[in-house]
Amino acid sequence: MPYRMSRLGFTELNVLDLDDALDFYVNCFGLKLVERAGEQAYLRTWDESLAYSLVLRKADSAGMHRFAFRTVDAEDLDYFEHRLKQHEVKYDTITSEFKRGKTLRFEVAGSGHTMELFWEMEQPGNDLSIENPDPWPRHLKYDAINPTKIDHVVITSPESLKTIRFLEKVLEFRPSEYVMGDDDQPVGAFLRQRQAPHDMLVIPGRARGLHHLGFTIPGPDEIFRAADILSMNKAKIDYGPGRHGATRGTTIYFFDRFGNRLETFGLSSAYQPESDQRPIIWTKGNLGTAVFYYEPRPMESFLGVYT
Amino acid sequence: MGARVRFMPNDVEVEVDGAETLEQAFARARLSVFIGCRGGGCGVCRVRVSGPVELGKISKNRLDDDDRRAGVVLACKAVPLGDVTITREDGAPFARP
Repeated sequence: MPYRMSRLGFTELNVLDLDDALDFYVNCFGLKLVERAGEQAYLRTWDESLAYSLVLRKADSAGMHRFAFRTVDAEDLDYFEHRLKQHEVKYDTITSEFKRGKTLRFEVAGSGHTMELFWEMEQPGNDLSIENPDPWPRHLKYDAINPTKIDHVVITSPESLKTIRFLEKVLEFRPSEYVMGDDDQPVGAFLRQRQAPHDMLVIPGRARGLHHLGFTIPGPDEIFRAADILSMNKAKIDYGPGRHGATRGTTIYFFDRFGNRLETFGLSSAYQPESDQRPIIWTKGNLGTAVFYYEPRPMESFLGVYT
Repeated sequence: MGARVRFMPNDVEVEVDGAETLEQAFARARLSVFIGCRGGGCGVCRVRVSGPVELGKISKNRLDDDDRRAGVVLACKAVPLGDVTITREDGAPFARP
């Protein structure tokens, strides 16, 4: 089975104050503002080749408005449209949105999240020259984190097994790791669409909940630098610098100014699974070790704190 | 302008300055409140207040109109505007850290 989705394309987060949010996401986190349009703002990382990868939307509650995956090719969008029909999943077709072409919008089973699939998006390229590029741009803000790319989204679901099976069966996500529950069935899953440990996670919790949104960062040194910058800006660090047992990636979790949890994830320290690799199993009671490898914590705080 | 924050039924009282949140009052009182995101978004630091408070920027879905009428606030964001009394929603004493 070929990979037909390339990655998480963009996510739209709800924030209570757009000016405050932009101050955090641009000046502390280090994203570039692409365009502000009314009560939405479009941003991207310096190494993003597409037009944007994060949208901020003013709302009365924090959380996630929607998330969207990009297919590998235009034909793959047709393929998934066929699968949605085949599995009787209701969807809307949006012909065009900001710098983006045809999009399929539907609800994730069991969790109620709004998910989208698209292929066509303007591609201005990253901040490096296409010819003989430097390894990183010279103009980056010195005292910002400057993550390289959006990486994964973690959603909560009151019917997590139903959500996991929907993503696997309808959208062909492959399981990298399962977290097992009482009846020897997964209650959580690390799911992928490429040879990376995860593009998406499902864990138990409220409908439409955002647990966190992950961005990549080059390596472990950069995780410590991120911790410095977050502390300089008095941002609330949730965990880290640390390492996950699951994925083996290095990590730091923190919150934006309205409580949305973010992660900068050291993808280079994580494994690269085979396309048909059997999923790793975290047996019941070991979720703490899977998430916080160096100091397993009670999971109430991890599972109870999200937007 | 300062305010007095009284924690019940522990019967502990502290003073805070005009800009300090209830979270900071808890720290002064050496009493425990579980703070999650500190952004008014996760809602885990709910406490009940009697007295004037500024709620701060908080998510409506974590504190609805009924909560607000009942005096429930989020400790990470709420700022006392005068003398206030704080209790847990279940009425139990606040723990020591």
